[in-house]
Amino acid sequence: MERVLRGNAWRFEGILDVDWEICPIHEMMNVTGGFGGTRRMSYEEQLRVLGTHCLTKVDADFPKKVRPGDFVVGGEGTGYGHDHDHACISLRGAGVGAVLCEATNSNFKRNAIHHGLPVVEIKGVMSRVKTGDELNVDLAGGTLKNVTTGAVLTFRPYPGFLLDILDAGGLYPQLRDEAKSGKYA
Amino acid sequence: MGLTMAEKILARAAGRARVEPGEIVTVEVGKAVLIDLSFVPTSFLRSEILRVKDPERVVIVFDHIVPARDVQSAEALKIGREVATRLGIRRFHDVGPDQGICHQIIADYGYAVPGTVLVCPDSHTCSAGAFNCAARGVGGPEAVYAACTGQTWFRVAPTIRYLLEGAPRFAVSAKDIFLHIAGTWGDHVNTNVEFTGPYAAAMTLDARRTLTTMCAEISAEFALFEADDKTIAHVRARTSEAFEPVAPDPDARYEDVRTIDVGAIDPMVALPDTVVRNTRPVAEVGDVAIHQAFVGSCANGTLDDLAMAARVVKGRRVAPGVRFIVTPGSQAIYLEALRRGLVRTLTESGAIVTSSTCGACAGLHLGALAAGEVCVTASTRNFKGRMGSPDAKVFIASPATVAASAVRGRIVDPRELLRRKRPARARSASAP
Repeated sequence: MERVLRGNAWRFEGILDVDWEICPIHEMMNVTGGFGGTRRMSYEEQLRVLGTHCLTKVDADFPKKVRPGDFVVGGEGTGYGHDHDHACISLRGAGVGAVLCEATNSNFKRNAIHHGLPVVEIKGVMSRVKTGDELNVDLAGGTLKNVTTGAVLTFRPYPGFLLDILDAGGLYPQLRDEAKSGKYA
Repeated sequence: MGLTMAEKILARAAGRARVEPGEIVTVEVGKAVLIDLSFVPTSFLRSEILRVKDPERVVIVFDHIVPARDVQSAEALKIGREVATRLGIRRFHDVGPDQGICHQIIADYGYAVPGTVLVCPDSHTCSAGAFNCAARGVGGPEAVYAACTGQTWFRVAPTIRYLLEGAPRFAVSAKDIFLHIAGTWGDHVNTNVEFTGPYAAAMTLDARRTLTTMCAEISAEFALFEADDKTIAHVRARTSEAFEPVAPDPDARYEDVRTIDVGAIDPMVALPDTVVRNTRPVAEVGDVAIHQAFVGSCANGTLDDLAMAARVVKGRRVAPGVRFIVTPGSQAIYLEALRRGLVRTLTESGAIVTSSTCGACAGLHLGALAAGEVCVTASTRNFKGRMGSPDAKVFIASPATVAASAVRGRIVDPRELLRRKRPARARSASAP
């Protein structure tokens, strides 16, 4: 993954619950066959299917409008709710490059990183970014530059080992690479 | 400035003298617990992982889909068995006498070691905090990663301390205390929770675990009790591992300290869809007719929970039109409940006692609800669709309240039934 991410912003106010606004839980259940589902579906297929439901509860056309690498910008309730990681698959499937928010919770942040999707908490992001703004986000440097307005915000940068997970595309791809190199053979 | 319990455990596991809230730290994982769902047919563990860092630090528990509900589940369980053999994992709880819901097994086999870190791909892993163990649920990939590498990472969170004081009223249990907390203070996102105080010390280990398990529902990071003589004796009897519990420093920094008089709490109920700021005393719930009642899960499948349910229904009948399902937390609890006559009492009343599984709690392979049905449950979660149809209504309560409601066919205060019993005759001092 490029460590400076570039894309345009899509700003969402209010709570973004993983099980509702980001991707309704029943869509995940349709994919897996319910909670604890064991239906076979490849990861690529999950990305495609869940991506078509991404944020449609707040913007019905979002999956059609968002371009690869664009940013979802949210408030303090971003990724609210349960530990269900289908929301992260949905965001990635829709092509979202990173989620930038005022605050989130550990479940969402951890799941997202492990699926290769950066979630960055940046104080003031909601007041300095509007939909359509062009943004540059430097994960290692800890800066967000709003190219459209010139505003610059800073955040606690990701430590190296998390950047490595993102570079690999998530935990499973990283584990797969490590397994291929004989680490767990 | 001193440290909280969570800060101390994370600092120790990170090989550091101290950690500060907000920091991200990599930590050594004491136990990585995998479950049956870790072995779905696309699982990574199926072929690519031939070795884990330390097989003694990996546990496998089958609980969500046992006995296999369909061919795909059966394939997952088969893969799990093959992986356990291939990776040399001795602590493997397959269908049989030592199987159970993973958090009950983690507690009963001493896998939750005080002062260490434990992860498992199930939301209610914070359960093991009752044993002074920094435990939390993680994603499926992360649990596999922790098993392979022996490490994971956490962002250190600030801590809220609860001081539990007083003695609970008749028929009020740990579940009611939790529902009081969830109703009063709501979510605890990005926050650790510590339970201390005289009543915390008086609680049984099972009751403590009900409280820590439920902290998943208020999104707490880690939910921790101090280790006292009860904890230490329990763990020592079950593991040969050396361990060193942690206690909070007197000058630890807390985001808030909240005192609860548990004696002021009545039997509580969570209304449908969430427990967060959505609970009230059972007397204020109004007249709610039910179709199903459930006692079980990692939060309320203990022997005490089954005994309470049996005590309430003894000599009574489950109301017509109500299914009362009871699921022991483990097969060992099932066996003990059988020995004590609890299974008989429950079954005679019209209840159904199932084998140990996450089953009905998660609307999996048994006890699912249809649209429009109402359930009162002593289990963990009640978000829309949790126990079956998204158009079902799920109320959460204690085992006593659930059992009483099963008898009445509507949600009632358990004291209505329990108080009508004649007092037991005094036993002689020499009685066992």
